[in-house]
Amino acid sequence: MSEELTFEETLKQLEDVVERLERGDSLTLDESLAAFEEGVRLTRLCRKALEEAELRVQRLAEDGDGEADTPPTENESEASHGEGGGVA
Amino acid sequence: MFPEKKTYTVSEITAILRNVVESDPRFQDCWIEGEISGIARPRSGHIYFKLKDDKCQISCAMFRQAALRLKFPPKDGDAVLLHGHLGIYEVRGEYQIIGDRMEPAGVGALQLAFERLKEQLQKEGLFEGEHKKPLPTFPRKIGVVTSSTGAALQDILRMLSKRYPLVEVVLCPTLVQGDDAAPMIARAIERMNSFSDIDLLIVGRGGGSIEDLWAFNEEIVARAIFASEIPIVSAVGHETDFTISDFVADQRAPTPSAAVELIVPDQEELRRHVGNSEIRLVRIIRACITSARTELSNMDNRIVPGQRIDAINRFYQTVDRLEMQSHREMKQRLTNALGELDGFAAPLKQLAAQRINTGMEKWKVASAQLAALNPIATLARGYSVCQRENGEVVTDASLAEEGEALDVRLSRGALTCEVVEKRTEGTQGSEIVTG
Repeated sequence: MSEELTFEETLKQLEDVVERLERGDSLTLDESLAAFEEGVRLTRLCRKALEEAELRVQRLAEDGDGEADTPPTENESEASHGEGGGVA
Repeated sequence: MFPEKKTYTVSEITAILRNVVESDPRFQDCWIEGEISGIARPRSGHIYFKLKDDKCQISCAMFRQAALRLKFPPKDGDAVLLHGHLGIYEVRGEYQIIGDRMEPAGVGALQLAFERLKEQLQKEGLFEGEHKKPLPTFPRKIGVVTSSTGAALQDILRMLSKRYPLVEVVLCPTLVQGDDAAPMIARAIERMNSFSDIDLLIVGRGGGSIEDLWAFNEEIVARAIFASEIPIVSAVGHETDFTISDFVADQRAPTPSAAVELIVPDQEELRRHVGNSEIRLVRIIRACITSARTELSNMDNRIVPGQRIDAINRFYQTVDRLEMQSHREMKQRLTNALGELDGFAAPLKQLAAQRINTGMEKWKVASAQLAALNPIATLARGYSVCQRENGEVVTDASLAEEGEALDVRLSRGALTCEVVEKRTEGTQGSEIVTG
């Protein structure tokens, strides 16, 4: 998703835009148009996020001595997400 | 002679005894372990027997309702755990245990341990609603504590893929049965809590016997769940299995699959929601255009001072742009909609296409109508606007003076003309001017 927005945030923005447009709030025609464009853009982002989503699975090391594994940072999870990814 | 003490009747002393027994909670809710002897089952459906250990014995009765719920047929020599209360049978001056539950001693021991721990933790407040953490609506990263080879994990991953594949799963594999399972599960919960970005934990396993599920009845697991900063959904066994973990967890799911349904939204619903938002957007923007159009015709009616034409033109321009823009969006949206219909039956698709075409036609007609209203377009068709020098529009020949200079605005450019003659006859009101 662009701009690092989560799906939840994108959806929330979309809802806000629709609400703002529906309330009217003395928007000028230009402002309405801009809100409309923004809304359409956000619906696309939401759809795209759902289309492209693929479950990512990361497996921590077996408990053993408990310290062998590393915390799941963004990079690590990228690197290891092939494992178990065939579930979809 | 006799000491001055009260003399009781048999009934009175029995009533007092009964009162003592019934007011002592130890007698009212107790588990008794012993061996059955002298069991009798009269036709009433009640069961009478004695429970004994190596020194003592006590009379017991289980009435029909309780007896019907027994999961095993008790017989002499069975080691059992009996739950019930102590009662006084006044008619015969006997005391007896009125049993309401009975378990074979092996399973019964587990049951007893379960009841005890449940009671203890309940007393400590671990099950209280105030400790329950709310689950995030859109979790991003979900921790799963279960066996890496169990059916539970497969169910969870399959359901997540289907419902909401936007999440990331972190699996901490553990044993889920046997003596080592409980401490391992507890440690896994703690490990999950050492990561800052996990939104939610599922802790559980698939179905099994009460012994198989036992790890989730252990105190160490219960305390780890309670201590977790991350909200936890417990998902142990089948719908009917309740474990201590279920009581402590922030939410209980009847099965691992059901846990997924609890914690993530369904992407189909989300798609519908997004689709609805889009429909609302288009509806609003159409309403905007309609109201702009109305405003425009109102202005047309009031178009007296010529200097307003520029403002009106600008307004038109905005509406045009808006209309073209939304037209494009509509088209795109409709194309997408058609694409989505691919999976459906052809007649349905055809019908939809037909409706969409009708919609597009209406749109075109509306656009054409709008264009026709444009004063510039009117000028292009050969009409002109006649104005005085002060900008006043002349719509009546009688109002013009002979010899007066008038400004005539054409589709392109304007002419300054002089009035040579006025002809006021004729309703068409044609004014003759020369350039």
